[in-house]
Amino acid sequence: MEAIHFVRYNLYGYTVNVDTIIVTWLIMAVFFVFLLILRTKLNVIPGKIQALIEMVVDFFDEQADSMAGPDGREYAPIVFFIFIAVLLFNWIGLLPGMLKVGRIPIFISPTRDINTTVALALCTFVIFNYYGFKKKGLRYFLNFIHPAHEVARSLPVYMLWLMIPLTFLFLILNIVELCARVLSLSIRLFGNVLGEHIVGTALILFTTVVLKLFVVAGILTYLLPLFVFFLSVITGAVQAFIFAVLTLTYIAGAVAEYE
Amino acid sequence: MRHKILTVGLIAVICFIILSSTPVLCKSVDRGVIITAQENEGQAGESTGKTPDRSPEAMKVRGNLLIVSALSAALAIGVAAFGAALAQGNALGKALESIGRNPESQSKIFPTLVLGLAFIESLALYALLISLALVFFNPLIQLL
Repeated sequence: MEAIHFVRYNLYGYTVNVDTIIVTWLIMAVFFVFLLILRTKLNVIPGKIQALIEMVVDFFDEQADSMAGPDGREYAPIVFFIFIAVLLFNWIGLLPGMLKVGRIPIFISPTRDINTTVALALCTFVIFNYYGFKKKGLRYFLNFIHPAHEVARSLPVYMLWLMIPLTFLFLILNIVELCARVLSLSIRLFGNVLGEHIVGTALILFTTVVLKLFVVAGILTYLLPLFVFFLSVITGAVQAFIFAVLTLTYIAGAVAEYE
Repeated sequence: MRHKILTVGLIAVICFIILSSTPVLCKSVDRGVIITAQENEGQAGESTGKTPDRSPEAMKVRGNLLIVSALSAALAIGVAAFGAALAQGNALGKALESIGRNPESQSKIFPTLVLGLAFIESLALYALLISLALVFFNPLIQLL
């Protein structure tokens, strides 16, 4: 099962998943050069590729405007980057052929490795905390005891001592929620991609290992996994969309002003 | 401008070639460095210093544990998929109803619907993760 085995490399006592790193850097380099080349060919009348990229950028600009208020457009580029990165990470697993460099399989989704998704989710965590702190300064820490001042306003004066335990309760709840955001973001992406990879590999192995049909296996081996691959085109895009929009939602929640 | 882009592209390509050949280079320099997943597990077992108990009783307990793990993995993903399917069907049905009642609201409903479906799906994925852990790298076996 190529889907769950990694080529590991021991670097000064830390274990590094080499295939994940190679595919990630490959995508990064190719997309960076692609965008640089596209940048020189920008035109008022867009070509096909430019129109496609403009469509995605416009979509995230609109979403940022409608979610994060008047200066929400500031947060659109980073969300766009996260969308493109996760999309390419998911879709590169669909390319045929496990090209092997040494013993390293290339063209396998880096997001099937939980380290990648946890890293992306931690990036999101840092991003929305940074924007919240940048926008609101020290008042950002009021977010951590969020419903406290609304509760305090609705309480009569002789019950205000209740706010001391309640504030601690809200603080703990908010911190748990922040950790759960990282956990759920990473596990959602990881589980989807890994599940698809495992089902795809199982269907590839199905004809030769389970049915032992070596004569027709040549056709069936290519036909059976097509259903999973078709599904994973859709799921890859949807997961990338969800990751990006959730990032935007968290940023919008962090920079929102509570009255 | 064009020269700059060409230079950057060239540097990127060279970086990629160096990067992709590092495991090969390292392999030729030091053969013992690249380790696969199985060897890694073996090392982890050795480092704790425990030799696995091979007596018949222990093997029987281990076999029972494997059966229970396989059953519980299947049960976990089955129940989670059941619940998630019900919830997703409910959400999708309600969304389609409201789109049918008010077709202009489709562009507003669709992103919310996808987000909601993703939240529901993540509950099933937690169960998938647990059953994957039980099937592929069972942590309970090492406790024996």
